[in-house]
Amino acid sequence: MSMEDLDLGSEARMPMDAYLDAVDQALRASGMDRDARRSITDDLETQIIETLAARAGPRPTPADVQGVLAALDPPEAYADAERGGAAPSAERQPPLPPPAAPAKASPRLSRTALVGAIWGCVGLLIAIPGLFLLMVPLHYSSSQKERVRSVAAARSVRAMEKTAPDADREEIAERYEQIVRDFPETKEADQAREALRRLGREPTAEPEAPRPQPVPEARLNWFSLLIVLPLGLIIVLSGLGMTICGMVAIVQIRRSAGKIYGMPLALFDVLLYPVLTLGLLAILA
Amino acid sequence: MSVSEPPPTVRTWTAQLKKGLVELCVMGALQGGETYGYEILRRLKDHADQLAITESAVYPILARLAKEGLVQVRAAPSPAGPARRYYRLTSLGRRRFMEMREYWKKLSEAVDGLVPGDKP
Repeated sequence: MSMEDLDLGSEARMPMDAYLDAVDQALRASGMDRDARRSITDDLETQIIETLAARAGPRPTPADVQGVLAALDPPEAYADAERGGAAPSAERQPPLPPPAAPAKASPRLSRTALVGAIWGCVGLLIAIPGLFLLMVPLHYSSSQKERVRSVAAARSVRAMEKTAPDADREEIAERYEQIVRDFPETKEADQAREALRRLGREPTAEPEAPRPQPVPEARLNWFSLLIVLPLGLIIVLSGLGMTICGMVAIVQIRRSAGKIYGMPLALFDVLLYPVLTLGLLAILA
Repeated sequence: MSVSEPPPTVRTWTAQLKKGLVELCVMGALQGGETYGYEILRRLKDHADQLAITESAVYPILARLAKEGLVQVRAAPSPAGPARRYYRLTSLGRRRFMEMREYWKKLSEAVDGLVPGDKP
């Protein structure tokens, strides 16, 4: 028989439409989207029509339609088809208990902020003692130079006093005065003051206007550079890393809707190095 | 006892076992070429009667496969009633089917080795 001749009247069509509507309703209740529902009901309608055409001839009656529909799965079977495609005669499983609501995750500290803080602080802990250790030999070197110069000056004057007893006492006294002025805190200065008293001249008090001391020249040799460069690199990387981590943490905390906390730590990350840099610049200025 | 009517004691187990196998069978039916939903159902009923596959299992799977891009759908006029929806495996669907088939072979071999038949 050709299916082109199928004449499905409105009375015969009614139970089929009711069945398709019931299937659609069951699928909708299961949360299936409209396209998928339409796909299923269209396939189903094709099946019903072709079955009717094959079984009931060109003019199926409502009873023929009911007979075809009776052989189909109940509408609710389509909704749980993904649970195994069981035939309608198969024993239905008891409904599963509703899944337990996922436990609300407790807020956690921002790992990014924590990593940033550790990163930056470790950098500081490494760099600052390193720079301190570097400065000690420089300072020591400067003091040593002053000491050597004062000893040399004192020896020179004493030699002059011994080898040339007739020398101008004024000139010798002037040299002792010079030692007192240039190296006032040294042992040589004390000896110079005694010598001045011996020469019958009271050592002058502190110079009226202290002569500007030459700034000790802190020259960095290659060994110093080997220390300064890595330490500088550590400071820069620590500062950048800590600040970036802090900024990322702030964004994460604000977007987490309370799931992540640690805003003060994140702000600390962001601000520590900029504040330290500004302070250093202020000191140097 | 018919295979399609499992005893009540193993119905839950058989229902679980069928899960996934129906999808494999539907894709296997489409491996032969483009066809429409009711035709797929008829083929499966003819060749896999033991699985007791019905329309409520096949059509939702077809809808899901289309949504996942594993099959392509084309509507074409039908001799009667609404337009037929013809399904065809996409290249992604073919790859997925091959993977599933390979896994099924290994799995069935392994199970056969573990669960001997009636031979003494």
